[in-house]
Amino acid sequence: MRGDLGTEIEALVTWLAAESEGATIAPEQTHPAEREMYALGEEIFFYRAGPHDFSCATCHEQSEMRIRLQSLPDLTSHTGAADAWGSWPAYRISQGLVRTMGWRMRDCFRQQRWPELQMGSDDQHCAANVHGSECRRRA
Amino acid sequence: MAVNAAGGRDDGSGAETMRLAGATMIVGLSLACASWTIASQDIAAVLESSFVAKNQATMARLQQDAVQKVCSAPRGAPVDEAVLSELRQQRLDAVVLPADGVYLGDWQRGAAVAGNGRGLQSSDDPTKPNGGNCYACHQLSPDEVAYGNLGPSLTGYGARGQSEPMLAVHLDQALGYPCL
Repeated sequence: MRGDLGTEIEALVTWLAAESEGATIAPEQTHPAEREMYALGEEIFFYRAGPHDFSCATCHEQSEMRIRLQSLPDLTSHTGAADAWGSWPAYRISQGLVRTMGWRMRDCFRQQRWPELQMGSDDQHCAANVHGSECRRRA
Repeated sequence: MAVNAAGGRDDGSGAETMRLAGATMIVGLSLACASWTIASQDIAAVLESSFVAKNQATMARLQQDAVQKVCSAPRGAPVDEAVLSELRQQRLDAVVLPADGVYLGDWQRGAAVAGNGRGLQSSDDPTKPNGGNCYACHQLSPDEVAYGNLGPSLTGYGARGQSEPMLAVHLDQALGYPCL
């Protein structure tokens, strides 16, 4: 959240992202745990809950959609997933810091009126696995 | 950064060395993750271990009601139409029409509620009134340009009429499609 201090994770991710410039987004789907993560992540993507009755899919399975004036990437499409994945980590002026996609996911869930997503949690790993795999699909 | 999802890029050898160092690190991280296993195949357990209650956003909010359960079918999975149809009828049957027959309330107060996007987030003050957050998804007043488009435009919606048949249509549109 705003005011948090950056950690070594942001620094590590920034370095890895810089080294990966131009590389193909191609997460493995060979290990059984990876496939399990994908299956769980997909289920979570469509899981509707909370007082506003939102799932990830509510905002992120159609193209050309927005909340207020904020454009929403279609994470079920190759282009939408790759563009969103490739745009992180990013320097956010409101934060004065480089932030990760995991940080943005946590803010998504806050706006969904859900409890707070924990950094490095199973949910984050599963969602990231699905997201990465959507980038690769039809690539 | 601008990762190219379509393919890699050929760099000079210095950059390539750094790339290899980065790749080695990624492999290292992958190996570290190989021993990591998901706590449970049960999505409820994953949610339980991944979220923590914060202020008014309690863990109870992750519990789905009957409509949310049936409407969470993953992409391509068939929605249970029989259950959905029953839930749709339950929702319509539960509607209590105003006994005094007055359907139009204080529209100016309604406009203020519609324009307020705060409320129910863990970061919101629970002692303050919750807004409807309507502009997140719908166009309403022509004067407000910052509206979302996940839902249909409701501009001029009231002008469609207040007759009983029109009210029935409104109710059906608002409640009759629980998975929208």
